Amino acid sequence: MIETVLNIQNLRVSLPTDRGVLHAVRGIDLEIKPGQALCLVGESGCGKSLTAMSIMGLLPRYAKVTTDKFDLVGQDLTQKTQAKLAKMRGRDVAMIFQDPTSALNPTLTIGRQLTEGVMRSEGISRKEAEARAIELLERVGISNPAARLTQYPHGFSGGQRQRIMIASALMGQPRLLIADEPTTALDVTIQAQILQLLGELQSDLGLSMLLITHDLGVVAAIANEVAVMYAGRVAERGPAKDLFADPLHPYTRGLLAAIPVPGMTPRGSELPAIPGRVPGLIGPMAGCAFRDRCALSSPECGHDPVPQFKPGNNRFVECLRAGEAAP
Amino acid sequence: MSVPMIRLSNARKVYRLRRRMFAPTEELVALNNLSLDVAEGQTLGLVGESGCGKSTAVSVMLGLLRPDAGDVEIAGKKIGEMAVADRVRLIQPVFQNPNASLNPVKRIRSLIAQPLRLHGGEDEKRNVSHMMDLVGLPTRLADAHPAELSGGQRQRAAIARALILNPKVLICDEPTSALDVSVQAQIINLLLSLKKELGLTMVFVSHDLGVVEHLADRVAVMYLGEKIEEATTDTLFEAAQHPYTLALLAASLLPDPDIGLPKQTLGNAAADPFAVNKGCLFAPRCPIVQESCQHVAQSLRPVNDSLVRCDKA
Repeated sequence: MIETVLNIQNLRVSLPTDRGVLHAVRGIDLEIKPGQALCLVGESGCGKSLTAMSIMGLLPRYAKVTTDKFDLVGQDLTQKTQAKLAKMRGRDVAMIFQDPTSALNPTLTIGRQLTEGVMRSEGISRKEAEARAIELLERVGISNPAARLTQYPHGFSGGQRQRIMIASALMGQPRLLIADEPTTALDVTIQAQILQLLGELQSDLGLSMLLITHDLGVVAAIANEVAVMYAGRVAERGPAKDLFADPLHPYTRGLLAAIPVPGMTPRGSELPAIPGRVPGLIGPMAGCAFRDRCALSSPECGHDPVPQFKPGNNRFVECLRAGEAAP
Repeated sequence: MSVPMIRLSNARKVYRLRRRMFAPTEELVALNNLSLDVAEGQTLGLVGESGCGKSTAVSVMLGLLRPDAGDVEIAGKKIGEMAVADRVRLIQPVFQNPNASLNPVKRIRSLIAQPLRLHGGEDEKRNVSHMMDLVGLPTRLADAHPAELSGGQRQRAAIARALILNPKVLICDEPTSALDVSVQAQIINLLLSLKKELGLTMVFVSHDLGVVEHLADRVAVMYLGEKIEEATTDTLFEAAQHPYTLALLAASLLPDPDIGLPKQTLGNAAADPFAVNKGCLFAPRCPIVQESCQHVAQSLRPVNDSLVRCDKA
């Protein structure tokens, strides 16, 4: 039994732009244990999607990715060639995206899209691949799957298309499923069904998941572990229950306070919004990236390195004044 | 009681569409006899999933779409009979995506002033800086282009533009859906203070029940073009009656890991807006469906303090 499905240390992603080098991911560590769901949560531009793309090896060539350690299901990926990486993709790790409509090819039947990959990577016959596709479509809740293999994506609703994407991701029997905002494009009742399905797959198949979302409600529903990202760093990490019950980083606290909760937040009251905006990530940056928006910030917050704490129970927080109450 | 600020009476809108190229046209009933009253200074939350007719209702209220039947009155006047110049001084929209609703080649000053230039207004410069103040945009951004602003600032600019003609009604169609959580809170706060300061009547369209609960005085829930439940915000969130409203509430996610995965009682069937159904439109997905629901059309009836389109509720 392997101990971690994914173990990344010090992942950095930088992209050249006209105005200088954009440091989108600035040294993050991620670890996912078998059967666990880790949620990467953060606002747009915090680097959560780039992190996922770099795990899949899907970043454009001009993106510079470095890691100290990059283990996927026990194999050291830093030593692999492009061809070997391509082979692992879809087999050990698979990914689903936000918009199932643009992720499916409208001119190919569902059957063709589901079977093509495994027929090539595993060298199995069309018949075998189709049998697996039928089994998986049934598993994800598509009724009458055998007949539907010959249909095109437009014949399915948005929720069904996301189910098909999930089935397609599972074709290679991956150990790790990366889902980038898998329910953002869906209606709430459909979102609930897709989250339920992901939860079942996690417990039935022992699937590990890396879920990327901006929605703390989604995180609370499905995550075992949470990593809160801000400006390319992990601000805080820990088991979901602990992190929601007792957020330590001022940014996490701010995010949680900013969501109106029926029955909890007094109606029409002013919400404690986080002032300001996310900093630009071009060029070097010193100290805590959140300090300009933080009510607790002090001059020391501008110094490197920002202190990190591990207050037990697998928790991690990077903040000089972690856990202090706001003034 | 005085005249409601917004009154939709039995508004109906039917689109004739082809499902595929060369297929015969079919009727899609986007609004089916929708009636809504919003009193002056009140905020109505309009919720429902995609395809339920929210956006058609918005277009009809704004006078951008003419209903096939029924009336829309704003401040007691029929919107179809109003001159455009009068209409825009009464009712203005704020849309979901400020990136799409602001022309990227214009400067913020000119974007905010555009309604003034089109519909006449004095002292453009003073007015623009006043509006920017009001929505919390630093005046140094007046000569910036939309691309130089953050998402929240762009939405502020869109709100400033909507308010520059001093309208009485603001129609917000998912104004925070494209924004990050921390910025969403800023915009909600802004809308709350504007409502108080200017006495605005608002319609707030959203799929996020938490946001609606925070902002709205009354809530109307729509499903496939019909209003299926309407109540005060308190009543709707404490004692929802319609099975669809209950499903929506059960599916909305709260930032609390103890709740776990949402309970979902609806079948996997998706809402089909083309479906011609004699009975209840929600019957194919309803967890408490009975034989009679398939052929008996449901009408709105009062249950406790709500109006509910379901005889099993």
